[in-house]
Amino acid sequence: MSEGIIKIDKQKTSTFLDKVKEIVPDGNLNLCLTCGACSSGCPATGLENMDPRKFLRMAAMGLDDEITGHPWVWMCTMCYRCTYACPMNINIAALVFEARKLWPRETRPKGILGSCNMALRNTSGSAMGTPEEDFRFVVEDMLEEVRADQPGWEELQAPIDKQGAHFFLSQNSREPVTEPEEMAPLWKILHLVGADWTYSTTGWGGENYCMFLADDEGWKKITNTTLQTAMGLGCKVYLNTECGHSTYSVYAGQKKFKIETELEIAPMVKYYAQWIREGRLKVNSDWNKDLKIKFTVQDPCNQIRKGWGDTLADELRFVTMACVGEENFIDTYPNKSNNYCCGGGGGSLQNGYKDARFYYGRLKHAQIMETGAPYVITPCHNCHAQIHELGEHFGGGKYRSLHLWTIIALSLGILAESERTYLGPDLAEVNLPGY
Amino acid sequence: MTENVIGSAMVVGGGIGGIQSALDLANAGFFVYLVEKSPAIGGVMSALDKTFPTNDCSMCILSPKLVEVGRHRNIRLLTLSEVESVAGEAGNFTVTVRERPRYIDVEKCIACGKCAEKCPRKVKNEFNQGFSERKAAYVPYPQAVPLKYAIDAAHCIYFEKGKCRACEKFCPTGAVNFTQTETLHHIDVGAVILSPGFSPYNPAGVDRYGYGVLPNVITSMEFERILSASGPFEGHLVRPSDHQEPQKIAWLQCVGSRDIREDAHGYCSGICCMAAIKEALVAMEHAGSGLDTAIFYMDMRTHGKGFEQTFNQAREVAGVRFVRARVHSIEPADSHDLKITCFLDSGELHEEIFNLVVLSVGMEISKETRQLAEKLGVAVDSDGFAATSGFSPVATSRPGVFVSGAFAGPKDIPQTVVEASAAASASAALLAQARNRLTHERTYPDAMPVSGQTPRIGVFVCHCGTNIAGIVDVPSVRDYAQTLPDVVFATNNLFTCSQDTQQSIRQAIVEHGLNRVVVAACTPRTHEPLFQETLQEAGLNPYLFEFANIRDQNAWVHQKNPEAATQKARDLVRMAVARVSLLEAIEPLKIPVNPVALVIGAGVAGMSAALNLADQGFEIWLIERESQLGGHARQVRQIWNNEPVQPLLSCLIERVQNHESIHCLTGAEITAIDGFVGNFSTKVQTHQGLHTIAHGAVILATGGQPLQTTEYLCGQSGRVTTWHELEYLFDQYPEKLASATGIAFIQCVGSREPERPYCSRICCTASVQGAIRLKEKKPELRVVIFYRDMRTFGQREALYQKARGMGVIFIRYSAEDKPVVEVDAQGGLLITALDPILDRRLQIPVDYLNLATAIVPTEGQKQIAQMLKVPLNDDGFYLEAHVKLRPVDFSTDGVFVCGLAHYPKPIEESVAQGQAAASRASALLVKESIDIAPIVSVVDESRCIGCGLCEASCSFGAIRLKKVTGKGYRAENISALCKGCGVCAAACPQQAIDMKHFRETQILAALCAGAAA
Amino acid sequence: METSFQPKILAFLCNWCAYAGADLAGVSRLQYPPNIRVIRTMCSGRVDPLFAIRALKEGFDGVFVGGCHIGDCHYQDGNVYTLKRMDMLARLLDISGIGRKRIRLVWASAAEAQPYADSVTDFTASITASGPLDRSRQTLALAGLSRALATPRLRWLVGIDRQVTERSNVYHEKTDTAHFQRVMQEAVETEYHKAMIQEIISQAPANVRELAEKTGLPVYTVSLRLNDLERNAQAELRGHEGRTPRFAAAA
Repeated sequence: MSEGIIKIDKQKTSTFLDKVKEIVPDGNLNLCLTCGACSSGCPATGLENMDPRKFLRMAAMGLDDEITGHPWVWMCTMCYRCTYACPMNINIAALVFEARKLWPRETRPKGILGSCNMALRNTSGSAMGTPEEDFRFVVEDMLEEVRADQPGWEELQAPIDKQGAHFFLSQNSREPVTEPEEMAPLWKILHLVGADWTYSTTGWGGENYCMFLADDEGWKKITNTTLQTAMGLGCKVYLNTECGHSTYSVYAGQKKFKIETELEIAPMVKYYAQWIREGRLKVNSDWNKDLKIKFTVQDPCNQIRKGWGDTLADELRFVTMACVGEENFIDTYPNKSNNYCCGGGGGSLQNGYKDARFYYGRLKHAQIMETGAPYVITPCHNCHAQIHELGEHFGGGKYRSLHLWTIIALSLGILAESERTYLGPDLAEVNLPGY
Repeated sequence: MTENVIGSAMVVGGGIGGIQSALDLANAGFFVYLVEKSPAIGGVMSALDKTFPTNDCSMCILSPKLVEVGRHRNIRLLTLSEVESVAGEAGNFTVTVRERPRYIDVEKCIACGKCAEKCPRKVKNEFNQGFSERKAAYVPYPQAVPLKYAIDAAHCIYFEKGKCRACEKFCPTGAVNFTQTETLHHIDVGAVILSPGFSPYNPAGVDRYGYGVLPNVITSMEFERILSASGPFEGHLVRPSDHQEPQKIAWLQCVGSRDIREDAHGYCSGICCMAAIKEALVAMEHAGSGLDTAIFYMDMRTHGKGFEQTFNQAREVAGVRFVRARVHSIEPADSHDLKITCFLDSGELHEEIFNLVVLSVGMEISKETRQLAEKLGVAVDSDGFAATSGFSPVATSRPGVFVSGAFAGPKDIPQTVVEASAAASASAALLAQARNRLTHERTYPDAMPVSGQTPRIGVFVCHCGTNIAGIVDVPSVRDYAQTLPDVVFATNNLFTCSQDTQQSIRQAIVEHGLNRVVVAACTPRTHEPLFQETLQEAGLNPYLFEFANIRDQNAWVHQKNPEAATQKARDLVRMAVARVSLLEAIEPLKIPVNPVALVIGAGVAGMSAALNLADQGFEIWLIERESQLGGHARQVRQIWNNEPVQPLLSCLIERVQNHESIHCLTGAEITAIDGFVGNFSTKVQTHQGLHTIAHGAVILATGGQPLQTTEYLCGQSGRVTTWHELEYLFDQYPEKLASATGIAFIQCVGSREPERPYCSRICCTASVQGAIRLKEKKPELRVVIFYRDMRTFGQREALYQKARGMGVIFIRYSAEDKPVVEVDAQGGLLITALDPILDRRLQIPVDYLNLATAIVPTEGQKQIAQMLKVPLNDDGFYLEAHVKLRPVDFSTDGVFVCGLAHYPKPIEESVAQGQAAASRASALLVKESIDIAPIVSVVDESRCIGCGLCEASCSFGAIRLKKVTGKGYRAENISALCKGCGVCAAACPQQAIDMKHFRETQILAALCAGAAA
Repeated sequence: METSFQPKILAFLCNWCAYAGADLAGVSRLQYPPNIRVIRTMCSGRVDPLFAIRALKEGFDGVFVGGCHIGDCHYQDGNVYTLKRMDMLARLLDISGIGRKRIRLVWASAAEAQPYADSVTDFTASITASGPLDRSRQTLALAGLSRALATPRLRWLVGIDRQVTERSNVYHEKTDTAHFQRVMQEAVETEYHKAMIQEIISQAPANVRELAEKTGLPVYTVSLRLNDLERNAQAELRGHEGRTPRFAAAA
């Protein structure tokens, strides 16, 4: 037995679970059959001697003291793989989310707290605190560079605050702040398909650490800023650069906080696929015909399992295969909506529990190794970072993680040398633009 | 209700339920139309390998019923047919049935299989779950009834491309008919019984299990076919991907069941736990002790009769591993093997590799069945099951339309058979006034006496098209037969079974003065009754017939050796001739039937039986030991579906008391029962005196009672109660509930213990319902249920879910670590128990504790069993004739059982079983006299020394010692009870016993003839 | 190997399982050797072991009995009696030197076409390998077996087996199975010896030494068995030849 006898009070006092039930009335939290399906499929099972079933059971038994301040709540990435198998459809992630709130705000993991606070500092929504004007400067500077250095792209656009644009594109802060050249492939793709799009100075930040922090106010504020800006510009579609949690934060936040909007909130991958089908994006896998370099994909939980399901997962495969060749795509198992979370979500990249994060990622690592593919396409920033780290940590760099825009641009023959940071030597010179 | 009641019924669905309803009704004087949508009856049961808990071969026990239906004069089979609409009202319906073309003339088809042999189109064999192929011309399975081929138009090349017709060209009887078209039948019937059955859940949509992606993840239905000796691998246990023998097999329970998400079902399918145990045990039998089997489950629901014992045996003796865990995902371990990760109570992640994984898929109601219900105006519940009521469990929302089997909720075969009989008796009660109006009895000319005559034997050798003649030289066999002693006539026929040949056999009997007949043809198992009937029509006793099996056991199994097959055919004919010359005419045994039934026990089961029989027009004596009618139901509040019991019970009691055909004796004790089927005499003592009742049948409904216990302070603390006591306490003293903060229930008190290994079936539902009522009255009350496996089977699962939703806390305990109950300092109760999920002990203070104690048979059950010589099982409940297919009969004819006396069961099952017992009894009581099989043993009293070994060896009480003046004891046969097995004849130390039709001389004659080459 | 020998095999199949399984073998077109001749009985429990000996006497080389699996009997437990009787028969065949290989008991369900066909094939091969039953050399053994199997003692014992080992006797004692087996073995031997002696003396009077020679039993055993027969008035002293007493069947 792990601990001593639990003495239950004669008089029942109001419990944490009851409170969560009020907040999440459709979370089914009472219905647990204690079957353990959740825990058997959860990569965080065993961390801190905790697992989803036990966590729920403790809540159900009213052991609020033991739940309060439990570090496991930060190790759970709220990936929903437990709920995906739960026969009672219990929303354990919602319970974990509320349990994060049991931590006084200032005691919550510094990394997440800091990023949230940064984002709330101005109206950019950037977790790196990048002010609105800095963003405009970086984008324009980068655009200048591409126009100047890359023949044929003299007309390339990166509009900001363009009134009436069809697509409102948010931008994860990582690129403008640390690797602005990574923005260019997407601009080129948008240019080729003739998309009418715009960035904005206000609410451009495509991330939401306040959601991870379980700071509802902050989550709402960031989502609201973004959506209001997009609506203000008269856009029709909210698009996020390939980022899982940010897309989800807008998608779920809009509903949770009942923000009225007619905007379509869409993941980028859906449009890549649509453009390929319409012949607007003429990707071609011939470059890989002889090379036969293998690719696999990561299905970001926030977009697939929690968002658009297998439909989007199939689109991701469609786009990937169109770029690398069907025969060079190797799927993981399990995959799509039942995919293993990589462990990079839920704020774990910033939570400070690094060992736990690697432990969590062991399953993802193993299934990537099983495919034997040296490249993992990860249309999500957190997945991208986590898988990159997993590859370094466990695999000695046996695989690399790539954004979809990189491989699309490669297969279109428009990926410049400077945009190949994440490619290995085998692809360093493949299909370079002909200049 | 109409005045023009029609004496026929329609049964929709030819599975085991439909078959039972049809047979019961047809045997009780009603004409039956049995409508089946596929080309053959048999349903799901025909595809099963074995049936739990006895592991009987499914086909072996089903097949005789199929044959009986196929041959029944008062059942008309409509295969490939579906009901379109039902007009009219109870007693007088007109049903429109759409019959699809078979493209085979069933009158002409002799099931030789030529069409299938020649058909060039291969199709996945759905009977074998797609593991093998059949042709577009096919029979669904070898034992199919009707045993007639069908052409599957959806795959037939002729229908696709306009040419082929190979089947037509090669059919030896010209049975193929491509011009057949759809037919609409308008059939008048008085009642309709729906038994469309269930569909297995299709797990293809559950990506986590990989069904359809990982070839060695299969469903339980597929596994049944793999195990079956007649399945795609001939019973060789191999896995699909590489046909290798698996060393490790896993079963995942609750696939599609107990799962509230879209595309799954919240209810429990009720049968899968036992099915998985059975499959594991049978697999181990096939593979030997090396096979490792593991069942992953949430609650083992082995709540049926004999189920818990099978579970225990599987776990403790056979070594089946039971892992309490629902599995998240099945992952491939390599290209064939599968990895399962589960989470144990110990907090460990357990990873294991299996060679094969079986998904225990649940039941669901198909779209077609839902549409049928809609067309007929029959209400269904949200799960798609027909809506019924606890006290009329087989009545649908539309009067005159009844239901049985899985369409009225998930259930196993015995419960389906019970409901099928109940639906038959409910129909019979409705149509009683039209009984025998539409049925036909066949009459025959008086048989000529043959005793003392020299045998004059006729031999008919069959070509069976080319089935026999293609291998065996039939004319030479005929010529040979002619040379045998006493053979005065021998001929050969293309098809001896055809209608015109029957005519020529009759003619030959008359013209040649034949007094014995031998047919050398297919097999007696399917065709002996046909030829016996022909003999009877020609005025010969049917027992003067012998069959020589020269097709199934000769031509077909020696195809490469025609000479030897021809020689064997000659030998078999010689043996048959030798035997037939010694056969005797056996007169039918008839015993009169007194059309009165005695029902012992006036609980809901007994009252339901009595009322149904009385409504059918029989006189009933209803015997009750207590002073009041109603039995234990008087204490029950609700049916599982929340219907209140008491108003319904009062209504039932009133109807019983006011029925002019029912005599109730209360405060009554049975002191003696004598006699046998049709002719019983029972002495009943009441306050008024001793009654002697003559009756033809007896129904045992003696009930059960809760066990008295001293466990958990019961009897020592006023705060510890059992069953309904707690709620009555609160009714009486509402302040006690008002001041209470916590209440606990403990399950399995006295059940599932070594001394009482069975599960009492009803307690989980009862406690959960009790907990819900308490929560409804007082939501803030802490209610805790300590359980071992939560067994809210079938749709009762919704109650378990509701209780959890209301915050009732469920804590599982094991038999080795039971909760400990103490009185605390304040006089309340303190319960300490391990919570296996937290792996920590909890100490919970409660004000009251209610115990769900075992349901045990009533006192006196044993005495009645002894009086009637019917068996009890180890637990003291009556042991029925067959746990699967004869759930209310005994091997002793004329005695039936229902209710708790049979096994613990909820009210609605008791009602159904009471009605089923009535159905079985009515088939007997409706007859003035009954024919009993006259193949019985005979005792040569001059050789008998009265040792009694025969009596000890007879399982039917059909032979017993009687006192003979001056000689001590001598054995005598009770023909009415004798089943004709012949065990006594082979056993008798004095060789004083012989079997009619299987006499020693007759067997030896065949033997000697066989030896003489 | 001699291939021209085609054994003759008699089979008793119960109506409900083995016979149905044999039919299904036909329906499934499974092929097996054509040496078998089937007699159908309702239950394998009808098969008196005497039938098997009679078959061997009449010219069959082997006897096959097919019934339902234990637990599947259409008559509840008729096949359990078959099992007991076939076991006794096997013991007797072993003692007689003919050997139990001449008989085979097989359980086959109505669905077990392949197992049925396989066991027929296997039994046919086994009997073929054993060669024809040499009846001329086994006359005494076969006669002895018939006599032994007709004795009330053996018939009673095999019949009472279940009564005393599964249930209990009139004194509520349950007999240990192993103990019962020992009693059975002793009885089988004794009765077979007595049966052979009876057979010989029923034809002509014989002395102990002649009896020992013909039966192959030790003189002492013959004496013991003769005493037994005399006590039960089944044999009697029929004069002396010199000083040697001669015995004959009781008149």
